Amino acid sequence: MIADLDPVIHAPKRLAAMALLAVSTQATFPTLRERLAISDSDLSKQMSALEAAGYVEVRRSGRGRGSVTSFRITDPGRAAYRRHREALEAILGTADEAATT
Amino acid sequence: METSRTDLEQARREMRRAELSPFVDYPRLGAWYPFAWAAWAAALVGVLHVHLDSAPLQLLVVLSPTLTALAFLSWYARRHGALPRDRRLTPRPLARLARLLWAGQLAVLVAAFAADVAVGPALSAPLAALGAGLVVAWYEHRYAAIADRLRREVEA
Repeated sequence: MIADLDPVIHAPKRLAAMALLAVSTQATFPTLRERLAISDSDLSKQMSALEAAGYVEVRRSGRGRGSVTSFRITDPGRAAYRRHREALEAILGTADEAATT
Repeated sequence: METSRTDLEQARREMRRAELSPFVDYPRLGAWYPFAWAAWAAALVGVLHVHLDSAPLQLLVVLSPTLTALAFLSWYARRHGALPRDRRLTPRPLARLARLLWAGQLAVLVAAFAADVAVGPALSAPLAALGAGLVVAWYEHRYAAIADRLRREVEA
């Protein structure tokens, strides 16, 4: 069942980013950085991995100091996140049952 | 993939916290917001009674509350940074509260419409303003309390 976990999403920071994006219309770079409590460079690295997997798309609006980078989850990303979430819940649910029997 | 049960439990906690974040980590709008809603509701009723000779100007006036609402939503979405969207993952107490908000606004709309037909905008506009303002003030207060509670629960 561990094999059902998506290795791209499973990294804690990427999982948190996908969880937030899965319930949002989109999220700006500063918002993700603040909510995940990570540095600019770390967030860039994590989001690049998700973008390379086709799980998120990046949008840049404006120019110069007023420019904003936003991320939006893609349909394949949403599906992958749901599968990962279900796998995680199933593993822990099974583990909980095993522990109580 | 070397993953212990503790790691998975930690991952699930982080995942649930992140899923909750767009709903409970939001910029508070302050005391002005219910008053703005009240003014908007009064304007919405008022513009329906404005009759101008110029058709484009008439259209602009009638659409102005809608355009104002869209501009506000756009501003708030930027300020929020991650506006919630997936209703299936909306925390139940907040989903219930949202249903009460819409029911309250519908009741205000019906009352304002009845007042408009019976008396006119002199009654319907202030009624819409008072009703919408009170409903939104109550909603904002309840939302903040529920969001605080949910945040504490997930961080415990």
